[in-house]
Amino acid sequence: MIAPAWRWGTCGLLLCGVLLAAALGAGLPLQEWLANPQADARLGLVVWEIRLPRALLALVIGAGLGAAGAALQALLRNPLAEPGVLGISSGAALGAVLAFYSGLSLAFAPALPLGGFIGALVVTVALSLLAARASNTATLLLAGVALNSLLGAIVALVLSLAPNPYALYEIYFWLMGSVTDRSMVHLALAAPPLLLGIAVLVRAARPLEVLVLGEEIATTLGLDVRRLRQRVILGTALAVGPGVAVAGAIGFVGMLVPHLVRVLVGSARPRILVPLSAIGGAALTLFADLLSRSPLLPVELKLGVISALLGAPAFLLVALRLREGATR
Amino acid sequence: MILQAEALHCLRDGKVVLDGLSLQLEAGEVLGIIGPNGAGKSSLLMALACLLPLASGRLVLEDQDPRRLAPQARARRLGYLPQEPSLAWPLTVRELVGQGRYPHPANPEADARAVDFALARTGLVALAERILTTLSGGERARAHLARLLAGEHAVLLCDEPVAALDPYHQLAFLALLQTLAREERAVAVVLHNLPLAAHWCDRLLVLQEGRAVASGTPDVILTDELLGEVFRVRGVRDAQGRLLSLAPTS
Repeated sequence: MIAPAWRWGTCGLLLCGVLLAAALGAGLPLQEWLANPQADARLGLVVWEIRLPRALLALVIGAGLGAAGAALQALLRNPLAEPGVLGISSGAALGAVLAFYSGLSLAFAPALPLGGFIGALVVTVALSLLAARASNTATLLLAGVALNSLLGAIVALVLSLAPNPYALYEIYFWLMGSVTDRSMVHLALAAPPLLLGIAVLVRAARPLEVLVLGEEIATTLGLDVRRLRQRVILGTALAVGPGVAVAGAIGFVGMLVPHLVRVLVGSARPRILVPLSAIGGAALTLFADLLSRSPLLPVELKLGVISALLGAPAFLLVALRLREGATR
Repeated sequence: MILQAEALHCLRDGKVVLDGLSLQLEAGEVLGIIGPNGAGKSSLLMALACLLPLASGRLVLEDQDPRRLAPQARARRLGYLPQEPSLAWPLTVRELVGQGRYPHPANPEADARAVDFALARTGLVALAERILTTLSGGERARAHLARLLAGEHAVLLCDEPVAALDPYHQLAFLALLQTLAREERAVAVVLHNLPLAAHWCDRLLVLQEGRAVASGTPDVILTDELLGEVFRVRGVRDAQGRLLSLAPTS
């Protein structure tokens, strides 16, 4: 199973490369520019200052969401787990909104992703406490959904207390999730913790494998389940929080991608699923961003809107497949 | 003696489940743990597997306290198989058996050898690449046992491994368990079926309300009084007095 997974991983990386090329070069007279880069400095500006940070942000944020979705699904032994469904993204959004509103992010730029990270961390810790108490994962998922609504309501409350309508409008659009007009500064703030989080999750994939038999047997196989839970929670907060902080909430990537990978590769083992979902999440998010700014659309759509439009029906399909008991 | 438990006291949700229970487990033998529902059989196995905190009592595994061992060192010695473990995601038989290698330092050659050995011993070589959920109940039970075997544990703790199997597979499974015990492993197995326990276990430990009420070879301890008092049933025996089946007391 590992060898085909490598092939799929390579295909995924190639796809990311193709999408990146498309994201950087689409619609630009590249041949002329490459022949004579000095002729039009604006083109270089468009590629390096506008398109590159945007595309790279989409890649790392998508990779974080994909890896976090796959790792959470394995940890909670539930195929519907996802940072968005469980309220982790809402927590990050609330943290970022609070950083924005308190003025911290104006005084200190890293406060925005930091707020997002702390928000995500608080929710993940709350979830893990619930996970320890909840008798089954259905309870935990319900609790996550409730937490998600609560946090959404608090974000709405903070927004309704907004000092001026213009800021309200700005935050509202920001929350929809987008990587438009993000700069290298955003990338520099978000990418290091995101990549660290992805690394933590990929490294946790081997012990996650043992959880297939449940926490009891995993414990008798020498796995420290509590420590693993902490690792996955920390990794998730790192891999999701900073992304929400700089780009808003991008839903469903974390749930959709592990399922696509599962269907394509034919395996649900975390060692395969977590790294491949990171690659798949990167590709899907960049693809969704390309769609969002497609010239075929009358206006530029928000990335979060596209990902939800793709993801929500997929979520429904997965739920229906589960009810039929078709888990292969 | 491989594993020894002395005066185990254990609480679950505020209720006493083990009340001063002692046992000894030798290499080469199958110890059957029997008792009515709620007697503490599963709790005892979990306590032996160090899954339950003890209020008091002592565990000795090859001269050491297993609870003080590093988790992986303990896992290399003690193997635990609960009732019908459910899988969170689909695995092939070989992948499942490979999980048993987790406590051992990564070594692809030794892992492959142990997995192949376990598959061969359980007769699953031909099914190794099948997805577990596509197998029959008997094959799945063997696959879980193979997972336990691949771990190369000195002690195997099995909680009602044959409860869901048809008679043929019950016998085949217990015969295999007995053979494995004879190869210097210690096996403790919880069984509900008393005639099966009488036939396949070297010694029986009878539990009632968290206490051991009898212990010894099956022909000595499975008396009509014990069956009546502990299990509220009556034994049906053959001419030699061996337990064939059970009947209501009245």
